[in-house]
Formats: sequence, C-alpha cells, structure tokens
Amino acid sequence: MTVNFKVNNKKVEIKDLDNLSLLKILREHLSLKGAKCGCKTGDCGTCSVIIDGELVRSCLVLGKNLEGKSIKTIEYYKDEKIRELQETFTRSGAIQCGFCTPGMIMAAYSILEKNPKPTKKEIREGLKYNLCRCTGYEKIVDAIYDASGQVNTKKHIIASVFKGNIGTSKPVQAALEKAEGKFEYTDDLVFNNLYHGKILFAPSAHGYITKMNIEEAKKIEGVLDIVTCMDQEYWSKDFNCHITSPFEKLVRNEKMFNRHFRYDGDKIAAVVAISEEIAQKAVKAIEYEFKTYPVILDVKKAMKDDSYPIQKDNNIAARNIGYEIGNVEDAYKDCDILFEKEYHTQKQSHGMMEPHIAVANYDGEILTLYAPTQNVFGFRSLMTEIFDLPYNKVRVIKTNIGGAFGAKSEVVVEHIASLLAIRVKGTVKVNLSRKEEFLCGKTRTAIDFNVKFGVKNGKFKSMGIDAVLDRGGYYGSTIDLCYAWMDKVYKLYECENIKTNTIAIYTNTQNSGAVRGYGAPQVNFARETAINDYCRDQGLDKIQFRLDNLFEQGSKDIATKETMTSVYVKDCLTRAYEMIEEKRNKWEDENYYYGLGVAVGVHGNGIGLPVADFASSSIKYCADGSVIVNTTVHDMGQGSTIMIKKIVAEVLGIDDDLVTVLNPDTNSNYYSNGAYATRETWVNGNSVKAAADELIKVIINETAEIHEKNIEDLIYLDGKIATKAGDLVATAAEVVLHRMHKPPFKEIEATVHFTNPQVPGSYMANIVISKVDKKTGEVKVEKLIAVHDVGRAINPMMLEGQIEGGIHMGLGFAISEEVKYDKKTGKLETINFKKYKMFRANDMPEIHIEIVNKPDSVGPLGAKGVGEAALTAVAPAVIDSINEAIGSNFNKIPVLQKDIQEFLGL
Amino acid sequence: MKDCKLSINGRNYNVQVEDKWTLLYVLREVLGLMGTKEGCGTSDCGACKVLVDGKAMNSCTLLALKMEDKEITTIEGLGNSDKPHPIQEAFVEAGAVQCGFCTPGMVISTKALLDQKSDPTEEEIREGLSKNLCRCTGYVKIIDAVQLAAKKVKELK
Ligand code: FES
Ligand code: FES
Ligand code: FES
Ligand code: FES
Repeated sequence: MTVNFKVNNKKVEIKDLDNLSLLKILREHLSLKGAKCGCKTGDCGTCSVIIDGELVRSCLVLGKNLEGKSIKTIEYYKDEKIRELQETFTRSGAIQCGFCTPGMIMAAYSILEKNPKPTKKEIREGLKYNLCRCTGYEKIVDAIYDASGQVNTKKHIIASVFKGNIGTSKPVQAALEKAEGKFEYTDDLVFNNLYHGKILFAPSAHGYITKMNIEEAKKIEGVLDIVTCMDQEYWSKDFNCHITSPFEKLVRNEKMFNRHFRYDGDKIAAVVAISEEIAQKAVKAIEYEFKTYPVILDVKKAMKDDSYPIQKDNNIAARNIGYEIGNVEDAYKDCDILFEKEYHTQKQSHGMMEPHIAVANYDGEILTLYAPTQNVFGFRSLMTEIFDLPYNKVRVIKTNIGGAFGAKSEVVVEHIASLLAIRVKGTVKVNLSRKEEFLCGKTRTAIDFNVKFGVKNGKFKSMGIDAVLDRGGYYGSTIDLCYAWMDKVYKLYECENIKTNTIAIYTNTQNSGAVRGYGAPQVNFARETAINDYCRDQGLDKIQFRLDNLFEQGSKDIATKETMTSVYVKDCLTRAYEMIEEKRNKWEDENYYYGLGVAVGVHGNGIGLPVADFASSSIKYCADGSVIVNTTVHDMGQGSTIMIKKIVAEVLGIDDDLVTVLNPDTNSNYYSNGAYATRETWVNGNSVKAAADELIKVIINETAEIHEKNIEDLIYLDGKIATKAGDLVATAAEVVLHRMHKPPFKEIEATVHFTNPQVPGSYMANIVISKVDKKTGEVKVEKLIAVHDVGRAINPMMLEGQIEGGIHMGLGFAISEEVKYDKKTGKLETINFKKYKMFRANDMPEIHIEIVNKPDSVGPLGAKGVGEAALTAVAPAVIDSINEAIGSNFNKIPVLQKDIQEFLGL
Repeated sequence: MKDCKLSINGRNYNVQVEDKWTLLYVLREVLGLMGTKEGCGTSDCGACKVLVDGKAMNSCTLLALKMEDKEITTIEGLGNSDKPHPIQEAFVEAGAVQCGFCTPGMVISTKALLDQKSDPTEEEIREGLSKNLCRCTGYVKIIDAVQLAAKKVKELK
C-alpha cells in the first residue's frame, strides 16, 4: 500500500507502512527528528504535530491513515508563526532541557491558530496534553501570551539584550536549537551499523529463576547475542549502580541480571539484534521457569526478624546511622512542651521527559559510552569495575540530556548497552520505553519519620528525628542518602541539642536512588509539618514561631560550629508573608474551604568533606581574546553552561559569547564529581572563578616579561593590561599571540584544583493558598509564593526557571505523585503518565517568585545553588494549606482527593 | 523512486532509488555500509572499489539500477575485526595501513587480483593495483601486504 501526504508542504510517498506511527515515519523514514518520543502512548505530548490544522500526538496516528493529509512539524521554518514562537520561547526562558519544547511549540501554534488572543487560562487548557518536567510551565505560558501580542501584566523576566554578565538574563545554552527541534538527543544521533538491545524484566516482584532456555530466541534471524542471569561470567559479579569512584567501599549486592530478582523491574536477560523489533521478539521468545518468594512491600514487615530475607541475611541495609549534638534526652526534661508525631513520604519518580537511553561502542580495545549522564567520571569508574578495563580504555561522553533530576546519575541501562557492545564488538543502543522507564528507573526514597522536639520559652531546646528508609531491593546509595537527609537537620533552626538516627530497609520495590532534593524534601516535609502541627495545637502564630527560631546571618552551623557564610531565611519568610494579600490561615465560601500554608527549608551546596568534592578547571586564552574553559559541568537544561560562561566572562571582563565550555568527555575534561548535590554552581563555579583569577595573574606575568615592566605596576582590566597610571600596555590577545609566535613558544592558560571548603545552605520560604471543593474534595493550589536565598543571582531568568520547575515537582510530591504497587503481587501499577500523575499546565497555581539577592561571601561572585532547593519547602506548605482549610491532620503524602473525601465524609 | 533489488554480501536488499543514484551512494547513504569510501567520485582513485560479480569496479560511477541481478561484495562482506579476511590480516601485519582511507579499495582490488592469479609477481601486483591511489604509504608495504596475502590465501587452501 502506498500513502501520499504532505509534510511541511513537501509531497511524501511512503510504501509498506505496516502499522508504523506517524512519529516513527517522521523520525526514522523522513529524518525529521524534532518530534520526540516521551512515551509512545499519547500521554506526554512531546511528539505533537499539526495535521490539517489540528494538534495531534503523532505517536497515536497510524501512517496508513494519512492519505491526502497535510502535516506541519517543528522543522517547518518557513512558517513565520512557528519561527516567532521559537524565538519567543527562547527569549522567555521557556526552554530548559528542551525535550518537550518542539511539542509545546506545536501546541502553542495550535492554540494561537484557534484563538489569537487567548487568556492565560485558555493557554494552560490548550497545553494540557503536553507534559514538561523542567519549567513548571510558567515561562511557557508567558512565552505564548507574549507571542499573542498581548501585554503581560505579570512582571516577568526575559533575556536581556544588554551586555553584562552577572545579573542579566540569558537563555540556556542552545535554547534556540532546542526550540527548532535541531538539538540532538541521544535517540536523534546517527550511528553506523547500529545494533539494538532489549531487556527481559523479572516476571514478578520477588523470586528465583530456576530454568531458562534461550535456544528458540537465538534462532530468530537477526539476533546476535543473548546474555542472561544464568550465565556464570564476569558480568554476573556483584556491583553497585551508585559507585562513583573505586575508593568507595559501598556494599555491592546487585548484578546486571538478577537470578534472585527483587522487584518486577529487575533485569533477568538482554538481547542484542539488528533491529529493536527483532530484539523485542527475541526477548519474548526467551523461556524460563521461576519460583516465587514472599513479596514484602512494607518496611515495617521487612524489618521483622522472621521476615523473608530479600538480601543475604536480613532486610536491614543500614542501621544506627546518626549523630547527636548536645544531649537530647536530658534537654527534653528541661522543656516546657514536648511534641512528637510520625510523618511519611512516598516513592516519587523522576518523570524526566526523555527516558533512559545509552549507546555503547566497543572496537575491541576501547569502550565508548554515549549517554545522557549527569556524571561522566562516575560512569567511567563503574564501567572499569564491571568490565575490568583500565581507565584509559573506557571513554564516557555526555550526550544532550532531555531532563534528569538525578535519574541519570546512577546507571540503569548504560552497563547493559556496554556489555552488549562488548559481546558483539560493535555499537549498541538501549532505549527504554516509558513503561520500562517506570519499571526499572530509580525512585525517591520513601521515608517514615518520627519527629520529636521540646520547646522552652518559645524556642527549640531539643530535637530528635528518626527515619526508616525504604531502599527497595538493593543497596545503591543507601549510606549517602542517610547522611544527605541528616545534614539538613542542623542548618535551619537554632537548637543546641539535636539527634538523628536512620535505619535503611530492603523491600521488594524499585531501588531508591537520587531524585532532585535527595532526602531534603522528605525531612523538610516531616519537620515543617511537625512545626505547623505544633503551632496549630498550641494556638501559636506559625510565622512568628519560625522567626523566633530560624537561623539568621551570623548563625553557626550547629555541627561544625562554623559561622554560616550567608543565611537569609528570615528575610525569605518575612518577604513571602508580605507578598501574600490574604493574611489569615483559613476561611471558606459557599463552595470551597481555603487554607494558607507555610514552610521554610534548607538545601546544601555540594557534598563537602570528607568526601572528595572537588572540581579542576583550566582556562585557556586564545589568540583572539576568546577563551576555552575545560571544566566538567553537565548541562541538562538547568543552565550550568551559561552559568560558567557568565562567571568566567565577569572575572575576565569579556562578553560571555567569547567563552566556550567543553562538553563532558572523560578523555579530555578535567575531573569533577557529577551534577548532583547542587554542586555545579558552588563547586564548579568557584573552581572556574579561581582559574580565571589565576589566568589574570599569568597574563600579567607574561606581559611584564614581554614589555619589561614590573608586575606590581600592571593591572588587568576587561581583556587588557595597563599600567597603574592608566597607559595601555597590551591586549590579552596580543600577549597570547606574542607568546605563540615568538620564543619561548607557549600557550597562556591557568589550571586550578578547587576543593569545596564548606557546605552552606540555600534557603527558601514558601507560602501557599489552596482551596478544597466542599462537594468533591478536590484540591486546587491557587497561589504559591516562593522567596529564595540563593546568594547573588547570576542568571535571574533561569534561576526563576529552576524554582518554577522545582515547584512543579514539589506540588506533585504533595498531592498527586506516588509510585504504587499492587499490594499482593508487588507489581508496579504506575506504569504510564495516566496512572503516574504529574501536574499539567492547567493544574499549576499562580506562582510568584522573589530572590533575596544578597551575596554569599564564599560563593562564586556571591552565588549559591538552587537546583534542589527549588522544591524543598513546597510539599509541607501545600499540606499545611490543606490541613488549615479543612481542619485535617494529614501527616502522610501524597494527600489525594480520596483521602480528603474520606476525611470530609463525602 | 524505483524499486531496486540488490544482492550485497550474500543478502538481498529491496531499496527505493532514484535513476541517478550510484551504487556508492546507495551503499553508504541508504544501506549505511560505510566501509566503501569516496575519494573522488569520478572513477579516478579506487577508494570506492567493490566486487561486482568478482570484478573490482569503482562504485562511484555505477548506477544502482544497473546492478540488479549482479552479485556485489563490499569490504564488509570480506571480513571484520572478529573474523578478518586473510587479505585484511596481511594488510595489518605488513604495516600497509596508514590513514586507512584507501585500504578498503586496496583490499577489494587485491581480492580480485588474487582470485585471478594466486601467485602474482610484483609487477603484476603493481599493475593490479594501478587503479587504486594511496597518498600515505608509497605502496611499498602495500605490495608486501599483497604478497603476504597471497601466501596466506594459499596456505588456507
Ligand atoms: S510520545 Fe506521543 S504523547 Fe508521548
Ligand atoms: S524543558 Fe520541558 S521537559 Fe525539559
Ligand atoms: S571515489 Fe570512486 S574512484 Fe574515487
Ligand atoms: S593509507 Fe592513506 S591513502 Fe592509503
């Protein structure tokens, strides 16, 4: 059968479509890769195109139904409206990772076609089929509103046309390419002789494979190799997906393929074949038998002595991890009032729009891994360990990332792609479907807290927080998470006596991993909700109680006793409260209960000692005055490249267009830990700042030598070297040129190895107004105020963008997102975006953000990080608003509509 | 576009081609067989040599549509790094590979030559490779390689 249709006004004729989707036809047959595949099930909108004027999700349209149709895609640059939207999106900061952007722009196009002057509400309605995990939709809505030519009354930042580095706004690196659909994510890259890997997942949540037969599968034409959990080969040894350096003594108790499988996303075999379809067919043809073990989903059950052991001896991954400052028990005796209550948080998925994907090549000597990773050096370490290869034979190159949020900091498919590539000595791609992503991706650690505190004269005197962590089937980053949540306890409120304790438990659920916030959103939910509950119990003003107890400028880190370099959390709270008009905790009208919720929070910056938390950077001045920066930041849409450019440009006094930052590649880049723990602004930013300072010294030295001047008499300013008297001696470019063309031939560069000296807090206050429908129990978060203390704003527009995206994730954490399993079988239930509910554009509240723009004394040019701080205080503020509105005492998230119905007796 | 049935390295391919597409273009751009190189596009350098019914021919000036019913062998069909063809081994062992861009064509020409004459003289080798340019090696080690290859092929028989 032949089908004739038009794509972007060009005639297309395609034969033998079988049952191909339009998305596949566009991407694979017509090489139009602007439309992305975020789910293939119609739930995400990343594949949106226009057919005969209607917005459609191309993954749902079959090619054979296209006869006579006319299709417009993001690549249709001749259409002025598309171009204009691409530019408006770019200018407005509506683009972070960019994976949703082509689909969003097509949706925007359709909205404006139908209604040239839409209201913001109508825009949000029109975007409801398109998910974005990065932006919180704010800037997308603003961009579309601007493109409609209406005057936006909300003050919002757009990219500055003015020069100037710190404090002026720029879009993220390659934003326009992202808008044009030209930015190539891993699945868009072309590799020759590419093979495809597919994974066989465990048949149930807990059991043991007794027999496996791969003979039939192997016979399928086009199958190259099959590796399984039955093999006794080097790939059957134990590892830990979280290892970032060979020095890490972490417990290694997972295998690439697990014969004893511990959750239903566990991998038991993989096939490599000449096409994805054949690989999938072979996966289905693998025969096996298994026996089942008891499924334990609940930490309380798993902890019992007689519980079936998921790992070797028992289900305790770690216990008695904690610290005590002062003497908590003694201090309780001296308190006026004691408060104690339990709080629970759930497993949350990353939900980044681009699922895990990796392409590996093995040429017989060198393993090259192309992956959208947040940690090239960590992945290299792990590959060298698993495959017993030396470091110089493993190369990891970061490809463009379609959102990560921690997902791409631990291996999920990268080692499988590598193994298959080594087996066939070629190039292999492993690309997860959305369902597979939900199955085997990591999740946020669910934590049960017991929060206790004692108050004397209105001030905290003593505080103890105990936590039980649900780690899923394997050890992974257990110990890191223990410390990560506990670190957040002593950096926010003044309190002399603090004690924490952690137990980490194995269950038959997905392995918990790094998810934006890494322990902080959980503990912050528990502590802030406890404080709100306490204030409600005692009839106290929750704002004033906090102001009486919060850290302030000059406060000391309770653990290290060092003065914090900047703490403006009181300013955050005071300002947030000023910004809200309704200054009462609850009220109601005929249809709704309203509540005002409050929370503050803290997140760290970097990992800090004793861990090797450092970044090396080298900056080279080129012969025309431009510079190349060799530092390892993993841009995933959060804007780290532009952040580095701005810092270097500011120190050197040049335009940021003259700065190029290398893409992470273990073969060429300087070392840095990965993009996690909010460390790129703080550690890499400081590292390049120091290197730029050093470069100035170097260039002054060289100038002094060339021009026979005293070093002390020279100063560097904006790319030039002058005498203190103000006479120009040379431009930096001239000095470089001189050194490269006359003896002693050399380049002008400076390298610095920067170690994180301390881990200050990034602070925030959130105030939320929610309304609860009296008849249905539905919650609508109406307004959210977020005021952040993140030091000096380097790039205000993208700083805001980070906060908006964090709010989106925090709202889901509070009232809609939960990874759920069938209670009996342990089968994952939330296997698509229909069941795993993330906020859509029309679910979002009105958002107001402000920055307390006060510099940190150690931060690079005064900056602190924001990536994870962005969501830390959202959930407790939302839950507080609900508890105020309806008089409930929810201590467990998410609070779903059914919970509210139950409480209200609806 | 027209249907075109090609038999390459023992596999049958059905491809859609334009009248003017060369075999080289189809190999590289349609089928992704990148072993065959383009050094000139005008039949002057031999980088694009493939075997057509056993004869070494420049694929850059053969029309794909004319190749139906013929048996085509490209460098990928001779061997790969896991199972190299003795000629490929010989090129590696003799140091006949520098940049490597001419090598696939050289190997194909050598294959055609040795199929004709299992024990060629140096002169015959030079003659047999005269349609293949190399800018790196000065051909000395390539001649050595062909001689070594001849020996290897013979031993195998
Ligand atoms: S890929 Fe089509 S809606 Fe997600
Ligand atoms: S920018 Fe929307 S998903 Fe990343
Ligand atoms: S490319 Fe065909 S002979 Fe040069
Ligand atoms: S080896 Fe370079 S052209 Fe022959």
